[in-house]
Amino acid sequence: MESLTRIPKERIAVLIGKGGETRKSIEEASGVKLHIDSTTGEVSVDWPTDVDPVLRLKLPDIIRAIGRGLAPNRALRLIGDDAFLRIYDIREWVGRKGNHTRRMRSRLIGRDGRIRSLIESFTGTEIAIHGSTVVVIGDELGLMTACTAIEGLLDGAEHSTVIRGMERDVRRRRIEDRSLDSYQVKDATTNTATEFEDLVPRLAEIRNRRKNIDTQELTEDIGTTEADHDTGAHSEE
Amino acid sequence: MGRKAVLHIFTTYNNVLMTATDLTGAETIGKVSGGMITKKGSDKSSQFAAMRSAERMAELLFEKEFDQVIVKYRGAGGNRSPNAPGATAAIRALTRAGVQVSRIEDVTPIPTDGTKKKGGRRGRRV
Repeated sequence: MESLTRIPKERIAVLIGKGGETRKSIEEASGVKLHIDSTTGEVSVDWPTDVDPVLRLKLPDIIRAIGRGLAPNRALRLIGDDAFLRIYDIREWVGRKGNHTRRMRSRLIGRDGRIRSLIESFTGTEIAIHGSTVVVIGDELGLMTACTAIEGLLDGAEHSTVIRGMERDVRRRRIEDRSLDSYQVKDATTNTATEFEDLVPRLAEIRNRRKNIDTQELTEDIGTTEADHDTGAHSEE
Repeated sequence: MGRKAVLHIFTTYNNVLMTATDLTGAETIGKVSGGMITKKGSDKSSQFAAMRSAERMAELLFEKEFDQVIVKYRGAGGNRSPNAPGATAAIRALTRAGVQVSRIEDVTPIPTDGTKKKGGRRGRRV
């Protein structure tokens, strides 16, 4: 049994669910056994013997996301390979005063959750704003766009500016997706082979042989004539 | 066979660095970075680069007869962002390449009250 994280008391009930429903669904999705201490909020886990290492990395994130206010069925998206978690603390931006965090929270959520749902639908992310934290889950690109939007709002940018910027980002990405392959460039020639060596065929081979001969000369002085003959032949090439 | 190595993965928003060392951490076995995989600078930190460099790292480890690793991953940490995508992609690619991952540790430096975050009062202005 290995302890994972602690979650706040008010989220324990959500993590367990009605009659342990939520806990069971998490256990089913990940194939582990969860232990939740319902007085302290300590969450620990029994790993099966052949556990996927990526899961070990992701499960604490899932629990933490649920603890920070995300609905469990939405948090389970993190099990997928291309979903990442980002947690913001509003207090880092506006300080510890309750009124300020409340103002920022309402700025992020918007009237009837308009701003939050706009960001979610544009970037394909899941956002939960709870207490003084903001949880964002999404794929790499969506997360990046959503995070710039959220950071902008926390920095005090106007809503219209942030949303316009986000729209522009999404549009640009859509065009990029359509026009060209995402990763067109990567090193074709892997490691030591330089461009010069590519031009001269068999250069590396010859160089190796010459090196061998040099070492031979050092160890045994007798075979020198033959070695000299050899090197001469190669320099002609 | 069956030797164990420590694989340090350092992911930032600009690059992915992997260094394999022996168990003491003093002797480097090999290193691979995102910049060795992609030509375009902005792709260095992408998941794709992380995956490819993990594959290359696996090759390198097999060459030197290591088949188990302890992964220690970290982000920039301190007062900068703790996590960048890439670590999970790299670990996934490692296991797929056949390296046995025996343990994963997060070694991101966590500040216990440090210096002020970069950017100033009004944030980063582009």
